[in-house]
Amino acid sequence: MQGKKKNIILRISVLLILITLCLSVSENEQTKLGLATAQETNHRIVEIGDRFVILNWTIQENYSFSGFRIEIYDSSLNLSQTWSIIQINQTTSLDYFDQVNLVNYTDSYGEIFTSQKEVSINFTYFIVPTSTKTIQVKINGLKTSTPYHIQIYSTNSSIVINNEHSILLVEEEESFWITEEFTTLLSVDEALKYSRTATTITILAIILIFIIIFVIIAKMDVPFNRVAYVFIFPALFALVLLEVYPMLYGIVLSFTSYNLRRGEVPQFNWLENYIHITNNPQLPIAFTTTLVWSTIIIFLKILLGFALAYIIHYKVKRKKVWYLLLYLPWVIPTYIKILSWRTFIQGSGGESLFNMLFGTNVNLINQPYVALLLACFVEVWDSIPLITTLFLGGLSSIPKELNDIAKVDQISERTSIRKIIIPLIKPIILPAIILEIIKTFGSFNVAFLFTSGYPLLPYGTNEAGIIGATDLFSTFTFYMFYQRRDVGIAAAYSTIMSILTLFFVLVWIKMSKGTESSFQPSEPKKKRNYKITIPTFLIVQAIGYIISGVIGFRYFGYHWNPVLTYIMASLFAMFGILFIWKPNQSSTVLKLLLALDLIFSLTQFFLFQMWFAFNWNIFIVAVEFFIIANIPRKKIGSHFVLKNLQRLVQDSRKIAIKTFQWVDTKITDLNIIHLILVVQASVLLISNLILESGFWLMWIIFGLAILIIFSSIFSQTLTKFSVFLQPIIWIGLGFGWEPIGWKFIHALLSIVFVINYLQKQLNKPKRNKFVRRASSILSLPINSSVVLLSISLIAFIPIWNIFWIAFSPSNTVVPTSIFPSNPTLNNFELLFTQENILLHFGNSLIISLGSATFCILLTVLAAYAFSRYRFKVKKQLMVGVFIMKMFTGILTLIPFYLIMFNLGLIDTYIGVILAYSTHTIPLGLWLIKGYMDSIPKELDESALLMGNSTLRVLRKIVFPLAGPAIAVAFLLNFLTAWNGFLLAFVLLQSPLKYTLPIKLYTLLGSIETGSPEWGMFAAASVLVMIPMIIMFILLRNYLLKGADGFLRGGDV
Amino acid sequence: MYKLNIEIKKLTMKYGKKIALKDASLVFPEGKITIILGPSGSGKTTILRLIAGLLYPTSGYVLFNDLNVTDKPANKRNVAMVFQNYPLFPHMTVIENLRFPLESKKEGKLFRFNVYSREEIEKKVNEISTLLHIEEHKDKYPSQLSGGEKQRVAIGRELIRDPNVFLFDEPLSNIDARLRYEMRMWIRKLHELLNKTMIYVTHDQSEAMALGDMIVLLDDGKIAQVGSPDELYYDPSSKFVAQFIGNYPMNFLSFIVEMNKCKLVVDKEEILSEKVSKHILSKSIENGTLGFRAETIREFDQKKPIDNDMFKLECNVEDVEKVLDQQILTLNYRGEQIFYVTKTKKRFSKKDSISIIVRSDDIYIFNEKHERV
Repeated sequence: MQGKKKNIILRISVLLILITLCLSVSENEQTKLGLATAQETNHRIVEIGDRFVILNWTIQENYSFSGFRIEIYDSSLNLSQTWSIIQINQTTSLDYFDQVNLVNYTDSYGEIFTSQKEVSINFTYFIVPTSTKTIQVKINGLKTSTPYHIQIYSTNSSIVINNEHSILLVEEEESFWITEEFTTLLSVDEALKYSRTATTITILAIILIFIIIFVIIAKMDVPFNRVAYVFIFPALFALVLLEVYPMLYGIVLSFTSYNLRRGEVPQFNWLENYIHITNNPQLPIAFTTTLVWSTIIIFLKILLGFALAYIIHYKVKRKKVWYLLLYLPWVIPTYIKILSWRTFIQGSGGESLFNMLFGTNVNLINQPYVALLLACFVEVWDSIPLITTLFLGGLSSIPKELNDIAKVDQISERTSIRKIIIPLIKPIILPAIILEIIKTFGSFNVAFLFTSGYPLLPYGTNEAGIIGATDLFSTFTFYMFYQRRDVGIAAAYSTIMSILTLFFVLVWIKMSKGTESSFQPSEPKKKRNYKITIPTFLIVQAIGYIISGVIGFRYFGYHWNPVLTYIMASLFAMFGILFIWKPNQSSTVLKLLLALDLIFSLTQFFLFQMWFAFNWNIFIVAVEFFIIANIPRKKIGSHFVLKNLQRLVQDSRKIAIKTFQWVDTKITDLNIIHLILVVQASVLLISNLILESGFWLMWIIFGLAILIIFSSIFSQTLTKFSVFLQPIIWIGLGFGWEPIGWKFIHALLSIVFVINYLQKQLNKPKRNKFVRRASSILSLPINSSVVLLSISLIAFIPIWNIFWIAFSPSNTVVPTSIFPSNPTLNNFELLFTQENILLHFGNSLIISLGSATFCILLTVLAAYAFSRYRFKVKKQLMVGVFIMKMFTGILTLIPFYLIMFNLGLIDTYIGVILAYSTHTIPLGLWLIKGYMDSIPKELDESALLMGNSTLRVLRKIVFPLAGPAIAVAFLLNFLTAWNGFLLAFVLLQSPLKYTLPIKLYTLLGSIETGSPEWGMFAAASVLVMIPMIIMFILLRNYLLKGADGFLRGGDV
Repeated sequence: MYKLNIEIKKLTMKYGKKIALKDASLVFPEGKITIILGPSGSGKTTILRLIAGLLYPTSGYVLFNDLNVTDKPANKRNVAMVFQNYPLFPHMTVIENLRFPLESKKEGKLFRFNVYSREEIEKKVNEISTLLHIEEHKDKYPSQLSGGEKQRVAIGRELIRDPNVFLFDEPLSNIDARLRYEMRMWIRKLHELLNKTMIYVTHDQSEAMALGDMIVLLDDGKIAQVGSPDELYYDPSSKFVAQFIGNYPMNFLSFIVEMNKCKLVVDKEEILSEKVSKHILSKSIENGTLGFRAETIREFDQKKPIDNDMFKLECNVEDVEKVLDQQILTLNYRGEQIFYVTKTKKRFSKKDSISIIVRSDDIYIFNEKHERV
């Protein structure tokens, strides 16, 4: 897809690798086995563990022995415990405790081999070939935290084979070879014993303090409200224990040397983890990726969400059908969606349906930009239903009359969107969008499942591994934790992420102020304090540029030209000072400066890869532009330079406007046909560019299309002839052998064109029946429907791909026909017989039902209290619960894992159930509360007056009436647990307890896995999807009614 | 028959900074209907909800037969409440709705058993549904009933429980006008039948007048006046009461006392009758308001002379409104609006001049604090 630019990038990146290699000479790397160093020194201990030790030694050229005998003394007991033998050439080692269980050796070329374990009648032994240079031995089964003394003797031994049994004969005389002393480490269990007790004590303390606080607050409130505290207690308690406590625990962990692999007692090492982080070159890379990722996604989400909601709300008929199409992809589990996109785009190593359809050669493993953009696309497509629902909620809150008035007053659509719709939905949508930003910022699934961080970046290497172009902050943190088990460092990463999230949370609190459900007139805006913010920003930028220039930081300033960085820094500093004196006068010139900065920053993209060098200043500049745009305009000041500059700008603007006006008088009335023509031409251009071998005929047709567009712009009659472009394109396609995907797009556009063309032509007095009927069909909102239909179809293509694979007999990824040529149920059969999929269905069901039941019990009670009682701190609690929602996922994963680990709940159902049960409490609370608010409170009051206890009122009156909302909240949690990947992946360790998402993931593996089980994965996906889709379609009305609470539950 | 005497003592209710009820002390006599009347936002419903136990007062007490029940929650007070929006449980049929309160009655300390057996419940439900004429609706759901039927079922549902006291929270305001008269009569009959303490909240004074033995008029969280309907109409204690009670808004004219002479503020003329002037002067107030009802005004008749007991106002007709046999005239007396209701056959038209007579007995005098003197 990148064409020639790819080559340039390749060359540049090779250059960059060389540079980075030069730069990173200081960092000497240790190979895992440490064999290289072992050859220089005679022998050394490579690693000491809690129950094992790894030892290396080198064998000289000439030796006169046939094996080594290893003896270990337990120094504390002064007891020789073990000895085993490594036999060179055809002889052997012996070991009655079976303690030496891994022997590696290198040959003269330095290649590493593992020796096979053999068993003789008296001993087990290992055989290494004569050419062996070094030997590495791993001795297992030691006692933890015990001093040992290891001695190795060179011996002569031989194997005697007798009646199919081998006996090892060892000669008496042996010579001393090496000796080493070491002490084994504490076991992980022992090392973390303190943390276990600490966790238990902390939890008990939290329980106690929490109860005391609750009782005190309840005592302070009026007696009738005390029952409300009883109701909110369980939910709040669960949240505090499972969300707040982990959050705080995570912060504490980030200051410790907590490690799950080394046997060390964790200690406070204060800022050591943070220092370690700042030295890691991967951090700015991950940060850059995350920033770019969030920006692209939020921008696309808002644009697409608004457009779709607008079309559904105002443009089309039969809204219910569109709702159904919109929500249907929502029920398909996210992980299946993402994995199906991977199947569709990447397939097996680039051989995929996508590439076949469009003739491209997309490969997510080695095209960084393509991979990042496609990952963004998948993330956006995944969240379309949700974001569209949000916008639909906003739109439906606008009174219908306003829209009618706008139409009657002949306000154009553009103006009414800008001046009526957007200002009205802004207060409702904005908090939701900030929530989306937070979610996108911490998103994990796509980056992990879709690309697994690939393609790898050569300059993203450190001793911890390599970072990829799609590694977000979250996945990066996850690898740190999951693969390296460096809890302290990973916790430091997630603490940094939490702080960044906190920033957005504060913005959210400021914006929402208790989230209004409709437009509220705000107080007249105070003068923005731009007089302070802008200079502060500018000074910060200047200082940042200078510092990054000095230390060679690649992510602030222009890495391609350090001199320019310093010049800009001085300019920023100058303007910062100037702005304090004359803010209004300097703002125009400041805009120019910022634009210049943007241009310099963007130039960098052509020289370096985004991940190698990036100017974070772009984001600050964007904020500055936004602030400057809001500065009230004043007459430009006295200085002649400024005056002349201002005049120049004004003059050129006038000339431009005049030119545009002149052009405008010449062209005809533009309509939808012109737009479609332009779209067709651009599709032609794109397809010609992508298919590098572009057929010359297609280029001629593209030229023709441009010609037709230009001519039809200037003459109405020529517009009528534009219809002849369609057959020309099709002739071209017929000869050009373009891939089928492009043909499909062209066909769609042609049909739309013809329909619109006919619409325009038939928009005259209707003569006969046929024309009348045809025009009545044509008057339907075709264009809007086509847009909606194509967007929902795009979501279904990968799903169709999955279905095809599931029923096709071979393990192929690319469909060759619409239906598999000879469909089988072979894959399904394998699933049940070989993979025991029912077990995993059972696991998922247990966890999801458990979690949803637990969650709904807590939520319903709390929602009732929040809906009906006016107790103290109600508003603060509601806002607090919402803030907690933002700190889930990867942010609390590590501490949560550790808490579960300390409580011994790893690899148990209860642990996973607890993990998922609190996730949807905030959302469920909002939903059910909103729905309960719409139930007249006189109902339960009159039931109460009849002498019923509050619980009976809940059971008999409130629950039956709030049924739909409770069902939706239940389903919400059920789906979260059913589809949940990350927590289950971390918490469940034995394959028999895997839930469906993990099972499916293991079938397919990550993107670089060699042998994915396509057929079985697809079949399992189908099995998971179908019941959900059926359930959704059957229950849709009930669920939609319950989901109304989303819109109703406006005020927090 | 058990009758309940309800008393509230210095009851105050605050919602945040807003004071809904301030230091209200009152005794609701046993076995009587007491009407709580007032404009919206005056705290009528707050009193009712405090008595029911649905709200907890900021300060003050609620006493049932001299027993302090302030801390008792609603479900232990045995109080019946009929709401404005007739809250029938929408997921139960009419008969289930009627049955529910009886099924809710339980006794026992740890193991709670139903008080009424199934047969008893059936019997009671049948009795009530005959009483309320809702037998044919027994198996319908509330959404299938009309407004009046719903309210009848709602009242029936409270009747069946045999509560100590009935609280009505504007029960008839959602019912259409014709049915409202019928229901009013029905509630009065009900009271005669049960002879229980009832507290009835309304903002409709005609309803209050028609039903009440005693009316409590509330103004902005404070009790303005307590008394029988006639007392409130003929003997209002303050300007607010005078203004609120009555079919037409009372006419007010401000007066001022200067040098022992009583003058109207609008024209500074001494036209008030002697009796009124004397009364004002005897109270030694400096300024205040005169009030007289639109119904008491008479047109000046040349044949009948005016005595000291009356005074005359020369007005212009500003607007005429004809409602069936009545004419409501908006008069302009030197910039002040005066309403005048008459049943004469004579037709008035705009800009006519007219002289009206007000008798001293019909005049209410209020001081600057709007209190009656």
